[in-house]
Amino acid sequence: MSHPDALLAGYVDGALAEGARAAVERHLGSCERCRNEVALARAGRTALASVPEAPAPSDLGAAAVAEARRRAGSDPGAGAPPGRPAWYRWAGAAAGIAAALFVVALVLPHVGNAPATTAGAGDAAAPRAAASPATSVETQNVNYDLSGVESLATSSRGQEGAVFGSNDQATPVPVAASVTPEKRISFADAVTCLDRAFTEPTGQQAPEGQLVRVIQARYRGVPAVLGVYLLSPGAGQPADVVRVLVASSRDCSILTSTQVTT
Amino acid sequence: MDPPEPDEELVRRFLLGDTDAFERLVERHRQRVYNLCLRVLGDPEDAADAVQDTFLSVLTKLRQFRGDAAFTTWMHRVAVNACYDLSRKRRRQPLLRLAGGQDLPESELGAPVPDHADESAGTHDAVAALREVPEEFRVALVLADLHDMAYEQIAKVLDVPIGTVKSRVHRGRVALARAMGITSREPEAPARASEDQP
Repeated sequence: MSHPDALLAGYVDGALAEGARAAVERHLGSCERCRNEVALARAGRTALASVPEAPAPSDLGAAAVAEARRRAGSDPGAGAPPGRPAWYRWAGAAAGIAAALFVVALVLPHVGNAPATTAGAGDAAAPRAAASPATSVETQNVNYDLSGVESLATSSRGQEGAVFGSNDQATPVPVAASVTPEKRISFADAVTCLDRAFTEPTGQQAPEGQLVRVIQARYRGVPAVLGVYLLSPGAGQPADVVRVLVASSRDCSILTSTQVTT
Repeated sequence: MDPPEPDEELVRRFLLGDTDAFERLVERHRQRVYNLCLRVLGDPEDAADAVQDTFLSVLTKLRQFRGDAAFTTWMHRVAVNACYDLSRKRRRQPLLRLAGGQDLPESELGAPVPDHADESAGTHDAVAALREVPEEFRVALVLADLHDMAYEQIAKVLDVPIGTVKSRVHRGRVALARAMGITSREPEAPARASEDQP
């Protein structure tokens, strides 16, 4: 016997047209399995009606809004309201200069009947610079949580050049509370701490990937070092994974880690 | 009082450079997306993480939004995908963490964190049982019965045929009742069934 599973949801909702409802009821008259299921489905639907709506934390989404504003600040095409802050006018001017350079780059190869080359067009397109290895520690007065760490990884995804190219640029993340920064840790000590925390106990192999950013902050109130790594699949391919490792700067123990695919 | 600005208008304004419009979208949908993720993932911290991922993805992909579907449909699709991603990650994480050989706070080991909002009498069973419903059914069930979304819209969110949605919702309701310990109820009593009973 075939069972009208696709009709039973509508039947329980009371939303079937008369003909379909009559057909389901004829089937139910001879099918104990479907009668039981309809009874269970009604019980399940009734139970869900009593589930309350939970209040969302008020700062949820703040990281995305901050990221939108950050991008608007660095990319005039991605976000700033016309006539708003002063930086927008400068951004607009910068965009104009960039556009002019773009036109020059396109036109120059044609001057003197020189053929336009792929290389010329490629230069004009200006691919992003490759990520630079980290050479210093950023100190952030930020108390990260897991969500913040994942936002750090996610917001870095696909824009390695923009985010990792400068270790001076802090990526906005949720700030749980204002915290007092610890004594500044040296770059060498921070890297050693990350290595100690995430070295495999058996293999003695340091964390893989290119370390492109080192941050001194806190994680859930614990003084911490955050390392941002780019992982490449190898064979000369570009990095396709961003991994963030978080270690306690007090005892170099693991606090958390996360990774996202670009 | 003016009617609220449609989502699509806020999207248009954001794409023209108004970041305040994006903030309005986040504020408007935060509560709904959080509850979707909370019921799908069953854990407040995971839900908060999935919401953050959702809005960051929305920000990144908004330029690809072509208005073929309503913004809410598109955003729910992004949110469901964020939940699936996080769910997959959580399933993998215990092994990775064991490999690290370190103890981590219990809340990060995936142990269920009580949702105090749900502990009032009569609701805990349904909320707890929802976590036992298979994920594909649970997503359809949450969208249909907690978000009151039409089956046609759910089909667009999940990108599956509408018959599949109806089937998943039905199977989800049945699974939920069974997870609550309901094994049998008063039998359905359409006319012929009643007549067949002795």
